[in-house]
Amino acid sequence: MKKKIIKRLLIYLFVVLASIWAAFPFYWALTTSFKSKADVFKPLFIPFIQFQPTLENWLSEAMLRGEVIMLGLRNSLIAACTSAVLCVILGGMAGYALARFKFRRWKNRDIIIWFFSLRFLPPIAVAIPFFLIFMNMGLIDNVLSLILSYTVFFMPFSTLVLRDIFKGIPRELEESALVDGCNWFSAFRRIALPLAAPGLIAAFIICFALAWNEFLFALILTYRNATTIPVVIAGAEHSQGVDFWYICTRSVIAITPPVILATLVQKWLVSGLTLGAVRGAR
Amino acid sequence: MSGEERIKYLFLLPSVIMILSFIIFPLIYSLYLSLTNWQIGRVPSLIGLSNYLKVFTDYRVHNSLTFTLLFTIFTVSIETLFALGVAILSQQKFFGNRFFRVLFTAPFFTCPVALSYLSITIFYEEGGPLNNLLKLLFDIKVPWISDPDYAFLSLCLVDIWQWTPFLYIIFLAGLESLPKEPYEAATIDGASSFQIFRYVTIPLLAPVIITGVLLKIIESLKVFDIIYALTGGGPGVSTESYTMYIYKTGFRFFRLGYAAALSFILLIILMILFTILAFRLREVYYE
Amino acid sequence: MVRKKGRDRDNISTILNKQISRRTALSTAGKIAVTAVITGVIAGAGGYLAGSAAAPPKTITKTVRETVTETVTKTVTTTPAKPTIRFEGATVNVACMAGGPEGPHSSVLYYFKDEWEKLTGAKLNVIEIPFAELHEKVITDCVTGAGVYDVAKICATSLGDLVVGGYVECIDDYMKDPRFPKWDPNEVPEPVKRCVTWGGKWYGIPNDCDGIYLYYRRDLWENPDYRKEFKDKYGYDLPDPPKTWDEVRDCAEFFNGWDWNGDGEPEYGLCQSLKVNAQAWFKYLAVAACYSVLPGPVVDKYHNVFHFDPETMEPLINTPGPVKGLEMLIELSKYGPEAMLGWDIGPSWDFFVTKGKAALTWDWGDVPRMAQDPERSVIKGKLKAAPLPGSYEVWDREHDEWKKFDKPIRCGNILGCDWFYVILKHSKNKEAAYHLCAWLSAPEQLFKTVTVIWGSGVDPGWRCHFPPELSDGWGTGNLKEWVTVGGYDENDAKSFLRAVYEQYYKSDTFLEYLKIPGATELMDSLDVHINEALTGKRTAKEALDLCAKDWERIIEERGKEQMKKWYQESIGYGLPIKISPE
Repeated sequence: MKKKIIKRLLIYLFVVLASIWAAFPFYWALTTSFKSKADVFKPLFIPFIQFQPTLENWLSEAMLRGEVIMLGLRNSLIAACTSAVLCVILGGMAGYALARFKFRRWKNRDIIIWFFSLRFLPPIAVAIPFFLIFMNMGLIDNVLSLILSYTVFFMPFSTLVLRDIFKGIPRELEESALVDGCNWFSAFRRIALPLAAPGLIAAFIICFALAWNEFLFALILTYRNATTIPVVIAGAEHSQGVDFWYICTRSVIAITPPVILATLVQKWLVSGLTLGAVRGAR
Repeated sequence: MSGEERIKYLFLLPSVIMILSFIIFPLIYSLYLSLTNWQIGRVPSLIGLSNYLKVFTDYRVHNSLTFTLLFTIFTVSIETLFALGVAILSQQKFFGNRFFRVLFTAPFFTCPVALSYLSITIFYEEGGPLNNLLKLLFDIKVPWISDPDYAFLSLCLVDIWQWTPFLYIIFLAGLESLPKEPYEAATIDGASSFQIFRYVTIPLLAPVIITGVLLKIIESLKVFDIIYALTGGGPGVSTESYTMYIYKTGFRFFRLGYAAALSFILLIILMILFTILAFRLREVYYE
Repeated sequence: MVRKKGRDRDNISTILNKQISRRTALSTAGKIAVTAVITGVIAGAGGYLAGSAAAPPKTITKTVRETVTETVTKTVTTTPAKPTIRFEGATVNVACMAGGPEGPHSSVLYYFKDEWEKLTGAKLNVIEIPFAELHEKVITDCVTGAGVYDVAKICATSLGDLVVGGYVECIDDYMKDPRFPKWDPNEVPEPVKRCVTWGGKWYGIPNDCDGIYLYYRRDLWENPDYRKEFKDKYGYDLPDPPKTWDEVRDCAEFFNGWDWNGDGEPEYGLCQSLKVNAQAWFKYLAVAACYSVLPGPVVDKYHNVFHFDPETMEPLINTPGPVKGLEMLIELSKYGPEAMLGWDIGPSWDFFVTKGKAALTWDWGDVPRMAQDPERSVIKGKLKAAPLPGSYEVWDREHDEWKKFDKPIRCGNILGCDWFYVILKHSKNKEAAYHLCAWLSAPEQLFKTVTVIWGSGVDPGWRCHFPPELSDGWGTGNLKEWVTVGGYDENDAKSFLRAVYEQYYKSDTFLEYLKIPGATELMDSLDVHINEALTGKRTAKEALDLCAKDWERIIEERGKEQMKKWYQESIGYGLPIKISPE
């Protein structure tokens, strides 16, 4: 019994520590957004006790930059959601193929390395050529150019992660279904996909987060109409320095949609079947 | 089995075609640029491999590569252990488990640009929150940004904070997808928690861990956003990363040829590394 | 075998039973989709509003300023009304740094947008770019042929790239054209003129005049106890203002490390922003210029040059003048907080203005503006400004010795980016674009820019900014308006404006602004090496020797002869300099 109590205490201790670690910068951003400009560089932690919170930064943002921020949020949402969904669908299919089938022209291992290699090149190297491509397609300053770019960049993540997940699902399950008369598509849809739900969600979250935070291409490929949240945040720096208070307000605004999304989907990060792998022996 | 023949291409090709159609031109164009001496206001002329050879005498390349390598090793190792630990922790039953999962995932959603600026206020030496706490507890003032070693540490801290959730999500998904049977068998055989972890979980999770770690290594080698605002590569050039030098060369100085060559050098290094690794990882990736 | 098959079957039936839970999966997916759609609609409505916003966004502070403006009688001379040229239907896209309706430089455009649109019938689009990427985006726009921007408010460092690339329009003809608003090139400081011209031709319409000035605390300098202590310690009166950097060093040392403002904590002698990849190299140039630039009537091989020898293109950055400057900067950096090696201007200004914990600093003309804001300043009314200190000796390369003078030689200006407008050649509305820029730089708008628009980020320097009593009778500005409309404390304003005038118009020489192609690369190398010296990794001479080697390499790579030609054009080689107004 004692061992169990100690284990419980340890678990809670680590959870609390990890939570403080993860939450502190958010807490700092939130409280700093309520500080007056003169208080930004002071070590004031607790509102009302150590400093007087003020709404002036939020009001100023809403009145002066509200439209730009809303535009950035909208574009970011569209670009990130669409590209993440595309990544998961296309990448999921590719990952499944690499997990289940044997390719003979190019070996699986080589295709996998090819997917990894897509991430080797720093984005800077291809920024201007991408700009030229989209300029010729007439898609400059259009969210569609961002969607296409992000799908191409982040597909390796979903492909590789989902390949591992699919590999971990016993092949016999689909083979039994095949024997029962399904074709591979059905087996994929009705057996592999549901079992891979945690992996699909994980891939979606990763691709979404990467697209949400992507800065360089959002900067290069957009001018005004397709501007995204990271570019709006970077706009808080100007020739007179950085407006840290606006960085904080915009960070808080920028983090909210992804966190809501993560909350909604995290239920699916748990697989119904396996119910946790390490519960094991106590 | 001709059905399977067609099916497998049907599954794989959409993504491959989409990727290829967008990256072929940029790759070729970039390769072409790396062989020229492109400058504003001048017709570029081919200069062969001299951009690549210049790397051997450019001390900033050596410096940034050293920093980037050290940074990668340090951050990836800590993040892997940290993420694995928290992923296992997340699978225990405790109050607020679902909230904790979202909370621990949230750092990955912060925009690196915003994080970099925010860190300036957090690491502010003359009275920011960290130094204030440290002064109260240990009466020390840590030069987070103005000293090269501490600047390295503060960048590592920021990266660990932001990217541990990345590995955490992958590991958690992997853990949740593990089959139940081995655990049942092990429990029946009377194994302890630790033995189960060591002999069942780790081997089964190995592919996922390796994929995650490889992906993170690649990303770490390209670290840029968090460094730019927080330390600017300083003090001096002690925290200038390889990609930051490429960015400056390509976009500030507009020496597109040299920047392209530097990018391809990274590509080549990683290609060699992965080909070597591929032989070692045959068991994991070989079909 | 049988056992395994049975288990598989169990698994399959459990899987198929999950069809029910798949319904919940679909419902959750549906919930996500609905949330996304709702968020999208809200964001889309906001985006729609952004797209169709005809009225400029309301500013909180603008209404207060406007009321104040209306109650003050205007004494600024206005250009006589003449029929204005109309540009119906034209659109002018202006690229400027992102600051919004109240931030630097963009606020000027937002403030005057309605008025100009009514005046000319054209449409003004302000396209904001994050500050750190302004140079990149403008050049990408030109180089790729996208051609979206008509006008760009750029930093002088970018001018070289744009001119040699053939991307900017030469405006000599526009300036002579009587149809456009008149701005007088003779009412602009000489260094600013040099920034916007190339080879004698005009390419930019000047606007900002951002120089670095010395700032120090009036309350400390006028305290009789401190003055006595200083005199006892150093043997001469507390210099007001300090005229050489040695005097600045003594003052900084004197005020460093004890509590002179009564808050119980020790204060510092000075503070500065010395972070790499930020603005440290400007602050270095402010110190080094007076030791290095030898005054003379003409820009020639030995006089009025700083960066390179105009005839051999040899870097001069490691000659004794700049080296002494760096040694002085290293010495000065001992009298401020250690953290300032990692400070950009934000924390530095916060330290000097908001916390009031430094006795002196040298910085842009934005500091007095910030000091007047009661929410962010504890030094309103306590600010004194002075032109940058000089030196009794300047390195003479011709005779390879230090040339001594009777009075300190001051090198004026030290321009920041000197933000000015350029018209891009690919623009389809060049005349409307020029009209906008010229109109914005006409005296009436220019005076409003530095007084009414609090966040304009534009610093004074034009004739119309200075009250005559502070500029030897030459200026056409009005001190009362600086106080009432601009919100300045009268003593602060007097001190500041006098300092600006003396710096621009009464110096002995000025520092040429490096704007040849590759200037960003050259300055980056300087920036990095200065920081290495400041952080103690190298000595000043070592650092600048390395910098000179880098510069040689950069010049070689870009073609020495070509760079030499461009350098001569950019500094106006062979042309006489004329600093003081007529």
